[in-house]
Amino acid sequence: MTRTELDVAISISQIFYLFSFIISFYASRNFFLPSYLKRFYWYPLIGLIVIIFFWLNFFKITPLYFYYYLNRFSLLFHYTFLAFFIFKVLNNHDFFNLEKILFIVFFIILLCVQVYDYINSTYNSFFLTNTFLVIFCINFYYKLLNTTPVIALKEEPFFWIISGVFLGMGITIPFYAFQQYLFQFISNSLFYLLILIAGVGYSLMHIFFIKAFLCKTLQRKEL
Amino acid sequence: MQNASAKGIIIFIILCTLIILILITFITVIIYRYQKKQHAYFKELEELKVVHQNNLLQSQLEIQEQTFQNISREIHDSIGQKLTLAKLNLNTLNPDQLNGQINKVNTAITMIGEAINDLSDISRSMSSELIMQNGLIKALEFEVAQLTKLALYNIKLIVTGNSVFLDAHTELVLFRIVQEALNNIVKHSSASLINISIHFDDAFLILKVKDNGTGFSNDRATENGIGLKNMSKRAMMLNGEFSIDSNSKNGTTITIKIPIHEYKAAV
Repeated sequence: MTRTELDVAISISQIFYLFSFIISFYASRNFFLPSYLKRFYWYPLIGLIVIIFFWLNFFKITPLYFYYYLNRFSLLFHYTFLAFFIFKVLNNHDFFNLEKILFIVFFIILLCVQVYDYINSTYNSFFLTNTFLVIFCINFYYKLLNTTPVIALKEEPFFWIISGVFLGMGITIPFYAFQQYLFQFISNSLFYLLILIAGVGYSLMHIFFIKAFLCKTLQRKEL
Repeated sequence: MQNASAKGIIIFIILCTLIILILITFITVIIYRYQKKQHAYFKELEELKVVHQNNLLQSQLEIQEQTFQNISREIHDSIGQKLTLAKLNLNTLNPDQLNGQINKVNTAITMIGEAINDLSDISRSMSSELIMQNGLIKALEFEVAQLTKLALYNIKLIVTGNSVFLDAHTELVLFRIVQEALNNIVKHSSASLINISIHFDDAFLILKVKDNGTGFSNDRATENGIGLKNMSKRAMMLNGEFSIDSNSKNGTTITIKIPIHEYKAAV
């Protein structure tokens, strides 16, 4: 795979961000939408802004450092937004609980990596962020199986969103974990293919988000 | 070099597929386990609902039974006594002072006597004492005798199989079912023939109340609705089956089948 082919593939996968934003923004006007979904459109919106600046940087319209800092900010946003989404679904009203303590600890680790490991911070940060989110997802599944099973799981938007996060982030973890090692040993074309996994992971996640907003429960409530 | 790259791509694709499959399997297992748990939960909930309904029905029947007892006692102790007193008073009247009104007085005495007997029968029919003391068969024989007195029906009670003693509560419930069925026949069926049959086999008691009346259509079924529902609920309370076969040619047959091993009386 060439760099150009990678760019084309990545840009195709980015279409899902756009769809995800449009659907979540449209759904936000639904009066009966659960509170945890009301402002969900911010997540794909920030993703879209990062994508726009990625292409602006690609065509050298904006300086590299601007995209660089924006990317770092978006990573923190991505982690905070999705982690808080899971907490909101878990509906634990304790001011300090294990999840929130873990969130703060992970957040500090992320900040440290971004500040001190300046050279490799992007991939390391992605690896850590996605791993932390997968841990929160597993915690969610554990709690889900230990609560009274009264909900129709396949018709619950939060289940699809969290499953999207779990699947999308889970796929990218091995790549981000071994990217530095792989970069030394594999050809460029294969490395580009590996980068594509991240695109596939994020696209899958957004497909799950779209599915969440198309759940029957929301459609019925809208009527 | 190209071969190595192609091999690498294949390994890459396999690995990616494997990771995706593992993650999807994980989510599928979660859904499967959750739904399994949900199924068990709803089943348990349903069972609890049935138990609750049975308890509710049991309470309703107990209240109804208590009401019957109260009415029965009231008829026997209050109205019955007053009528008896009235009859006694009439009997003590001096015929010489009645100025030819003796026939009217005698008619009044006869009517009061009949009213006392009728009230006594109603009181006995309502009371559960009869069934508690003499058992289901005797109580049914009493009911048959009461209907026979009306001279409107050719009524038969047939008991087959090896009859067993059931606990008093079960017998009372069965008795009330038959009473309800007979009540429906008297009120709605225009029947001339009534057959009550009880068959005991090793596992079940099969009770049938059959008439040669007009049967009932859906409209009539609604009219009889509460009575039929009560019979069905009572049969359900005994873990039994309740069925109705009704048409205008052959009349109506009500069948109740209950498992007797659960309700055999302790000897």
